[in-house]
Amino acid sequence: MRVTNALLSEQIISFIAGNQERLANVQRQIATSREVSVSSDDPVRFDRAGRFKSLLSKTEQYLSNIEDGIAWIKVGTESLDIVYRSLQQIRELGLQSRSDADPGARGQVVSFVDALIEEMVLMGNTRFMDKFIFGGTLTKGTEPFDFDGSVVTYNGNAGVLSRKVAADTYLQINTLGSEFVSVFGAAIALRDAMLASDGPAMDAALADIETVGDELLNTMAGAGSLQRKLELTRDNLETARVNLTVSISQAEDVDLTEAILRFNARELGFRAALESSTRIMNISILNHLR
Amino acid sequence: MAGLTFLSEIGKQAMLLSQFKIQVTGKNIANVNTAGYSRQRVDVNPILPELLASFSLGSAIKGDTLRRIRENFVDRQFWSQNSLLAQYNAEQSLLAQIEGVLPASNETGLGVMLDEFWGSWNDLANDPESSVARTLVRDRAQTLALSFNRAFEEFVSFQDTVAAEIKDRVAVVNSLASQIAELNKLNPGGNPDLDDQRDRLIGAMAEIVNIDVQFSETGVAVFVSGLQLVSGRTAFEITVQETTGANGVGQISTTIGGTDREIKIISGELRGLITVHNDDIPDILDRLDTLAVTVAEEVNAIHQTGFNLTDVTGLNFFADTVEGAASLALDSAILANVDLIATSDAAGEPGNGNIAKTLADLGDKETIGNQTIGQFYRSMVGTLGNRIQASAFLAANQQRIVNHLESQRQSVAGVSMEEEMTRLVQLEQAFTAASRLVTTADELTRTLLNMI
Repeated sequence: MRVTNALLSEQIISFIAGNQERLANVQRQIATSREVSVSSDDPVRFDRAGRFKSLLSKTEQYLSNIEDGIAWIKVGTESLDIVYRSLQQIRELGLQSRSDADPGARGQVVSFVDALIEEMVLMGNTRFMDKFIFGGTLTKGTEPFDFDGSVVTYNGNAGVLSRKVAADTYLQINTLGSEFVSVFGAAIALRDAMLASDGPAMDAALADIETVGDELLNTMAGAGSLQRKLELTRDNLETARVNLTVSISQAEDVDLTEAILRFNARELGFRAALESSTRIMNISILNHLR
Repeated sequence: MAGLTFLSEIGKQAMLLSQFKIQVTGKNIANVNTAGYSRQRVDVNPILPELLASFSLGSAIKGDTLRRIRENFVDRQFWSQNSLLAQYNAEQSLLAQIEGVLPASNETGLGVMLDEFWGSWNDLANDPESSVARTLVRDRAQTLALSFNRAFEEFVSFQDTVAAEIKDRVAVVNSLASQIAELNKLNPGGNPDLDDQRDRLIGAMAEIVNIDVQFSETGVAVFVSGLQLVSGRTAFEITVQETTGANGVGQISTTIGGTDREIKIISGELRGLITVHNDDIPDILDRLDTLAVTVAEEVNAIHQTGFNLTDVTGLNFFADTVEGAASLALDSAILANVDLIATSDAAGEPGNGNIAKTLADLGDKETIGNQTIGQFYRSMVGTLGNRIQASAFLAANQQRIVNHLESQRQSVAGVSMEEEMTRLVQLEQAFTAASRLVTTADELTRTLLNMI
């Protein structure tokens, strides 16, 4: 083939430009440590990274939902714990008072029982982040438990509060006040029996307290296992989060070692192209004619 | 005696011929880097037989022709392939600009904003009593709406830029056509310099639009997809017609010579520009509309069934005037008062976040065909990315074909300095030899005269 000067220079220019472009591409990848920044870089990997990122943001959302749920449950179980201990104390006071023959001292004991009942009601009206935790979805306004001195009424509803922990999976986080409202009735019955010095009624009330105490323990155990479930889910999600971060990096980040090797190879190619170009450009018949 | 006069005449003719050839060589050397220049040669008929036969001294040069060395076949191939290259390049660069306009990154794109929007409903579901979570939902929704509005506007204005570019290119083609017609008048063919100039014009035109050329004694005829653009001394004009297609999106077509005969442009820069203007941008606008309308309608449908803090139900979250990405906006009442955002599926339950929960889950529901809103958006970005990659790939391959044809063209028509310099030396020697003829004739004549 006939080689002409214009062809030669065109070729040299296009080689140099091509080399420069390839070098610039690797350099950009190294500088940004990204291989895929826009869809056209690699639509498949870009889409994969996008899906992983969307999943990651959901996972992070679930994790924060779980943290919120655990905090909610903890506050609930602590309050229930206090209710249970108060109940036990009332029961002990009842037992003592039953065996105590001196009715004069009973007045003092009764006022102590009253204080404990007040304490239990207070716990039933516990707020977390300024919301009643035992009132179902009636979290604001009227307190869930109302004590008028003779009876405790539950003003809450049966609304379930839940947190999303996976796509389509919600876990309940609240304990309904209706589950343990019987505790108050039993305690009040004991107090009234003590006030009336009614021995058989006291016995009945003490037995009742034992039953509702066991029920309360069950409720607390339920909340505990819910908390455990949330914690397990959290651990799984934490693992998933780490895996997702790795996957995102694999989808869009550049392998630095490989990129630097590529950079070196291309730099060498570029230098070689420049070197050979200058050599060729200097060869001319004009150097040899007198 | 006649023989000797004849000898010096031959010498003179030979010297003139060599001089002319040296001039042509000089012209070639001077144009070594001129784009579109074809090297020129002098075709010479042998001097001697002609002279011997007739004793006529008719100029050896006059009968000879200066011609350019060029391969028409390669030229045609080059033009048509270059047309395709220009198309792919135009598409690639325009689509890359679209990718820039479309907020498509995995960090800040519409996809992320959608995720954040659903996420804010989740936060509100956890905390339906909180005005902070409500404000967050409103702000995220507003950011989303504004991004849709802006993306749509930017695409429309980008489409306008492309339309302007199309008109500009068509004007260039029309001007080239009239220049070619003008050249046909001056030189129907044969003058090497004017032929070069004409081929340059044709080459420039071929980059913009697919053309066929036919050479005849009235000059060159140029056709675009079968319709004549240049015929002898007449040039016809391409006219740009703008119409409004479905949902107010602009469409462009081209017609020939003031008629309504449409030109189906099949390659060249114009093809790329028109494809992006008529197909790619409307497609993206259409998908953006689908996204915006789906988001607004689906959210409103759920939101209407919910109760807000003031126990009112049946309210829209997004304005009910949403017809596309451009009109996506929040309901003005919600915008003014975040307490109106519905979260509960029952009246009077401040802690009930079931509606917010359903809305948070909406992002995972298949609401556009069998795709979720996020999947639909990602497939739109993916389609665009694939298009760019494909045109980049086609452009790179086409560049190779064009390079190959260009080197073939150059290897025929291009000037080689080595060749011309060698020829210069050769011609110098021929000139010297011819001048020796004259001196020899002179010496012979002198000798002859001395004999008297």
